[in-house]
Amino acid sequence: AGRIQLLHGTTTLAFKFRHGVVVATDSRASSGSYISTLQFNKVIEINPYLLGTMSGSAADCQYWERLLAKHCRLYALRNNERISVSAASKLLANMLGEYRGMGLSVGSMICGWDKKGPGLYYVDDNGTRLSGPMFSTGSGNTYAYGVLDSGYRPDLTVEEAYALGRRAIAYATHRDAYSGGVVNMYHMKEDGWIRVGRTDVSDLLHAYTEAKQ
Amino acid sequence: MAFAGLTADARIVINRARVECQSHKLTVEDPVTVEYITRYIATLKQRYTQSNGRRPFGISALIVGFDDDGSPRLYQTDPSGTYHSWKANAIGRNAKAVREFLEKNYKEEAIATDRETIKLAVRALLEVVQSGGKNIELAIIRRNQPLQIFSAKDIESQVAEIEKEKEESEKKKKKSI
Repeated sequence: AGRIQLLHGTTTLAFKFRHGVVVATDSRASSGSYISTLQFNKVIEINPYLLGTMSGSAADCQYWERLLAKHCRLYALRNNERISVSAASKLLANMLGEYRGMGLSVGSMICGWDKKGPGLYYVDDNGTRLSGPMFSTGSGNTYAYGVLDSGYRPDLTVEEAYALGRRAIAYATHRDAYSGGVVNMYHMKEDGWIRVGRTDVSDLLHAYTEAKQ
Repeated sequence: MAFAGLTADARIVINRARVECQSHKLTVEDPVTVEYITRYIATLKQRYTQSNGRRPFGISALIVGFDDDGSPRLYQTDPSGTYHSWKANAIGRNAKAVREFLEKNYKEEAIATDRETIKLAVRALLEVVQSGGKNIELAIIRRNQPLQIFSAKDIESQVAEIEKEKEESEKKKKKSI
């Protein structure tokens, strides 16, 4: 008996550095060994200063993160100030926690910039909620961590940070069958996020190979 | 929170507010702002004016504190569920007289130092309190410090100081005539 499960294979990553938070994801949505979508956007734009990434079940991630967006907006209207990253991630974690053990599959990173500076939280369907300087989720996360850990410095320049994020996703898609497509990158700054762009993974990998020659 | 009205009702409201403060800290990981908890209490009070089988809470409350960013706040709520922010206010049976006193005497010089502000508060109450210091309670809340409740002795000495100042200003008036 097969349940159609989209998006289980993924690589997403995010890391804080001096100039904010870089968020990068691949774009492959798979159901089993079939690639259902080649260019799937795994970053939900909650509002101009909050982003959420998706890994696990596409449906679950989309639904719960859009619901989170609704709650964040209501909070801002009621309290006359933006919700903090800490509060937003806690809202999501509490929502998911209520369904613990019922089969939700969500591995998400909530990134933003609030009064306390850049914020990055990892939230998942077990109810885990962690704050940290660097996370990677999805089936390709181990490969991404390898590249990130070897290249990361907190004082990276903006361009170096983009390059590191791209490289980590690219090499993860190289080894993980369930990740691929393009690298979708965002940069969270003090005045909100910007979309850095999408680069095809095969172009990146070819460039890296040539650079080695 | 300071209140005027039915003490029993006040205990219920205070307990609900305390629970909400903790609940907020748990879900949002930040302490409440004074405005938030005031809004919560006001919403609670309003709900009791619009549901069957219940009567409104018989209290007006003055809610005082500091927000996370350090700014001091004063809010007043009443049984209808409305709330407003104030620089100075009074509630209770003789609130009108005290409020009028504050309207006349709440000035920059009067609140320039801790001592002067305490004197202003005591003088405001002395307008309407018959037996002087024995029936006055005073508390100060300072940024990042626990609430400081004045001892009866300190209040008595404040009252004595104020009476002395009053006498001296009366003497001066007499002399100038």
